[in-house]
Amino acid sequence: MNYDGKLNRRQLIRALGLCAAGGASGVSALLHQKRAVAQQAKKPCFLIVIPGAGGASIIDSLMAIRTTESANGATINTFPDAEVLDVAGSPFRAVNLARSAAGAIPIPFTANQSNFINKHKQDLMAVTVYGTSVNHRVAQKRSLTGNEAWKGRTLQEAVANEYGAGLPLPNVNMAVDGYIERGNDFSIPGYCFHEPVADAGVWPLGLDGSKGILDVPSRALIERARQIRNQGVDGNSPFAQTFERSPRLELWKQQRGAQSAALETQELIKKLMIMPNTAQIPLTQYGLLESPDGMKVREKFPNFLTDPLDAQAALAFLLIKNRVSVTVTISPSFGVLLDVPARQLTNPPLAFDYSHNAHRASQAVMWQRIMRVADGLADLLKGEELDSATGESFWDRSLIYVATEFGRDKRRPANADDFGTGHHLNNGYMLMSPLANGNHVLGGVDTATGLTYGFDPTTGAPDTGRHMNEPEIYGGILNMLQVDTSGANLPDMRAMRKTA
Amino acid sequence: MAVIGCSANTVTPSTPDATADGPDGSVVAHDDAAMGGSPDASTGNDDAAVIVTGPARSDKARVHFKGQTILASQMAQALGLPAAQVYQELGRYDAFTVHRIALGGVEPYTLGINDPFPDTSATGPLAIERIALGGCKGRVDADLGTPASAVIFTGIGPDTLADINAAEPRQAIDKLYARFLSRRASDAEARVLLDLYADVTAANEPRPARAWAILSCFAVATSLEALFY
Repeated sequence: MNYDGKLNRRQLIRALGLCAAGGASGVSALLHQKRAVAQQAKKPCFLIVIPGAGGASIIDSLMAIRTTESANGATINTFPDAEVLDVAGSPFRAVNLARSAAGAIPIPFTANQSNFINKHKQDLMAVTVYGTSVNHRVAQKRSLTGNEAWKGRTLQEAVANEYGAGLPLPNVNMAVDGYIERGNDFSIPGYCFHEPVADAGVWPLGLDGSKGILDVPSRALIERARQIRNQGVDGNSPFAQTFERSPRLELWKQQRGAQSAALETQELIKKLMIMPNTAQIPLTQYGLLESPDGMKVREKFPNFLTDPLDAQAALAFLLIKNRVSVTVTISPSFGVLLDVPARQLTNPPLAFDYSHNAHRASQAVMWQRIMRVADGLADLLKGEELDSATGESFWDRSLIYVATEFGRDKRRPANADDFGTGHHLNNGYMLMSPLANGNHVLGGVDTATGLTYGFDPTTGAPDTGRHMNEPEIYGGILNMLQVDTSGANLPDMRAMRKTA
Repeated sequence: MAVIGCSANTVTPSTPDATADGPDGSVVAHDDAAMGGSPDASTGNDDAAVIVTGPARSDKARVHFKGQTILASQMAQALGLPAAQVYQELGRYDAFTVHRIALGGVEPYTLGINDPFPDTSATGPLAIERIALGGCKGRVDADLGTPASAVIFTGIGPDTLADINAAEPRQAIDKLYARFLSRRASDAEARVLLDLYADVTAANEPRPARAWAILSCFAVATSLEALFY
């Protein structure tokens, strides 16, 4: 197979020969044989991206500042001392607080970051960054491409390129806005680009051409009809003949052939179905079943019916566990989610960006939300063995990247607890992985200004005269995931890796 | 490079010196671009000739996937079914809505997907196959259940067809082509679908005529010509 995933002439002839003998499965077998060889060469790493959509401020979580620690504590974004907790044996801070309202939304909320940080501190890492855009959509994409650090390919595409060959859907993306945009590097194979998912709950229904449709001809006959369509109907079509050189038609033929066969063969319509059989989702009535892991993921993400982020997280786990994907992106939306009976603000309007109106509440509620989902995913992945020879779990080779557009303004009206903030380039990211240089804050924060500063890429030593840029963080994440970045001219970020 | 025009199934070279008749009446074009070579670098070598049968091939081959909105409308019109009832996942959820993004649709309000993605998605073919299969089943059952108001499959019962080569099956195929592709089926195209009946009967399908009708409809509805423009 060529570098771009296409068959060369000899392979094509062979595939056609196989087709003649055994139908479309010939191409499928050849593609998978080729991909499997490539895949065996390197044990995969997994990237989960959870965007802090709207601007997740690092000084509202792992790098929070107490009011009394700052010379300007009353006018920059600091917290009452009692609400910033130290984490034993760790450089991290945790914000625990409770309020009676979230700005104009008269619903009380609480946030407890300390439980999560205490539990996962060995895998957690904070890295500072100075971004390049305060435009949401532009900054969202730059948080994934490192501001076009590697020909514009996103982190997810780089990981799919490294580990995704042979998998049915290497890169699945359920996010929003710039977080679901494709990268700009078209030199990578087509399978590296993401498969977009709009609704995690019902999306698996589209993973089989006929299961779940009652009273239709047998599977074998449907397969026969596909063959007749592909060869006879399309073969005789003047349109298909005239435009036979179309790359779009060629891609579609690959997708409806080998790729669709891979999805159906693995019965992903069942394995990935997170929904239980209910009156609203009558799976059994239509000959379908929920995933064998359905109960497990629903226990971990119990709001799967009402909160899309829970449903996405459940599906993300199943995609990785079932070796469908090596990278999955999930995201809170910019729409408000209120649990009225429980009087709970699940997702503020505009997510983190509701900080324009109510900074404290937005950051607290949203960080809590991100941490809860990250905690659930880590727990689930720890419970699944990846390699029986080494005893490694899936989590041992996974990384959660809490991408975000930018930070927030550091200033506030004197002693204001309920205030609004604009966008600010200065910020940091939360990363979580056994592959990371865990339990470290790389860089630091100037308590007088609330501005973060950088670190030495090799030693990790704080450097008040340095800012980390987007390509450095991008490269560091790929370093952690052991992606071969030869030729990319990315910096070596030794400080971000657990091992050399 | 030879410039070739076409009319129906014949090929007419516009530069006669660059072409010659092939052994079976087809046209042999010395077309470097057709071989993937440089369009301006003629080899002048007979070994490089390409036998072109059927319509001329487009070098640019610019086609587009119709996408969710057009396909939803097309499928409803072709099948003569209300748009929301072409096929419903689990009997409840409009399939074109469920599979909107997989079929190249947009969702600007909550997902911020303002434009279709540039390529078809990996799950797109299966999504459209489900919709076509479910929609065709609905049309066939309606036609066979109430023959007086049949839209596509007139004069066909659900059980064994007395003669697949009778007028009614061919008329049904022509209607499928007319409704999905806006043209008549050629004899060769019709023959392909008529021959499918032998596979159906060999598979011991309980209602072979019904199964043949569903599968013929499915094959046309999910063909390249039906999905791209």
